[in-house]
Amino acid sequence: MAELDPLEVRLTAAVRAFADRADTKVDAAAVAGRAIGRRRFGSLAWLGQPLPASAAILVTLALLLALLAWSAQVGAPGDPRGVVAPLPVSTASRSPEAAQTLAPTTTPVPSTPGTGDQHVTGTETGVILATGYTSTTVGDVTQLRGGVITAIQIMNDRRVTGDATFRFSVDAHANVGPEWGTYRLENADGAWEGPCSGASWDAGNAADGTCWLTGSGAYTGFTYYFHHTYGLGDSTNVDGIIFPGAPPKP
Amino acid sequence: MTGLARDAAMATTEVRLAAAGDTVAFARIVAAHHADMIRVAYVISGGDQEIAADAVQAAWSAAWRKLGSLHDPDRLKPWLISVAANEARQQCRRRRRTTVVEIDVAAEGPSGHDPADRAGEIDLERALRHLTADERALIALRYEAGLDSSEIGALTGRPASTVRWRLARLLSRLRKELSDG
Repeated sequence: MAELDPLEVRLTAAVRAFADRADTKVDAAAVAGRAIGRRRFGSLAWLGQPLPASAAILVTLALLLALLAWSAQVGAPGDPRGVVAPLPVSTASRSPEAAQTLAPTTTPVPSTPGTGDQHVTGTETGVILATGYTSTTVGDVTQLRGGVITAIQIMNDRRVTGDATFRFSVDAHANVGPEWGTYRLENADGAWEGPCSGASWDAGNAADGTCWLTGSGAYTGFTYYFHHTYGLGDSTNVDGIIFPGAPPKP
Repeated sequence: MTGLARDAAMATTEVRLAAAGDTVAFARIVAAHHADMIRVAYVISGGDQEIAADAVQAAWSAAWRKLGSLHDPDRLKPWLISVAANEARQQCRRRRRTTVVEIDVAAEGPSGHDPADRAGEIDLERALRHLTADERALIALRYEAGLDSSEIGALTGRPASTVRWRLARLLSRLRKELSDG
């Protein structure tokens, strides 16, 4: 900064003293999560892109799946995407410099053996609207089609931890809407894929959904069912089961 | 590699990772720069913590979307501060908040602080109250963030000479208000 005259010196001191009163504490993971999944105009917006309310379920599903996938993915080669929350979580593909700055503060959920039938729990995060959807209004319903969400699922079973891709459709009514699509979760050992359906309400601020995924690769012969509920938090909790056999037929 | 060079290299890596969608790298950037952005937004808001927090949160959303457009990662900090300043100005306009919160003179200032200096600071703070949010933004970028006229001009899309002229006018007004005090 160039040399300051006496008034500028006083002004600098006054402005900085004034700024000292600001509360600068920050939960960086939460702030980053809100920035990436910021809601605008009454609808959800992931990565700054407005997402209709009814897409919340899909987003939630994607988050959950992604978290699961991530858990299995740690240490394996693959996509370098990171996770918003919790902040200290890192992937093996990051630069050494970046990894050094992370403090490993997360407390992982007790892991399953990663075999046989299991009740699994975890979270979903890192949601990105990878492909925008088309929006067509038919009467009172807005039809959203062709959207693709990617996310990271981090679960307590490595088989269902990895990168998730959710291809979704939504019929958005004024405040509620059904949502459906296909979900694919993959990691280094195999993949899970199958249909999902759910519902959102409160203009998209709340949603839940379920998916029935069929395993392939190392998971051939198994089914992964999960359910997640979405609120206004920065990540979504996931509960599910893995069992040998095929999904039930209604 | 020197410490500074290593820091710069790490910052560049973080920016590139975040621009590529690495949300953890983005969170680390938030951790590193949030306080500086809040301080500037707080000054622009006239001491409104809520406006400052909302503005900086909005700035992070904009930063996440536009990080890829930052050609020079070394300029990350001033760029983030200018985004926060812009959001704070807009928040103030939306809320029509043009005056700062009242300063509790008795409560402010650390013990042991020279009373004469403190009185001078308070006079200046009161003078700042009469500025618009746009004017306080200029003051904050210059005297809180420490940016020079050229940097402010580059970040706000104005010629440096215009920034210097506006600053000179502001200083002149403040000088007059203090002398009229």
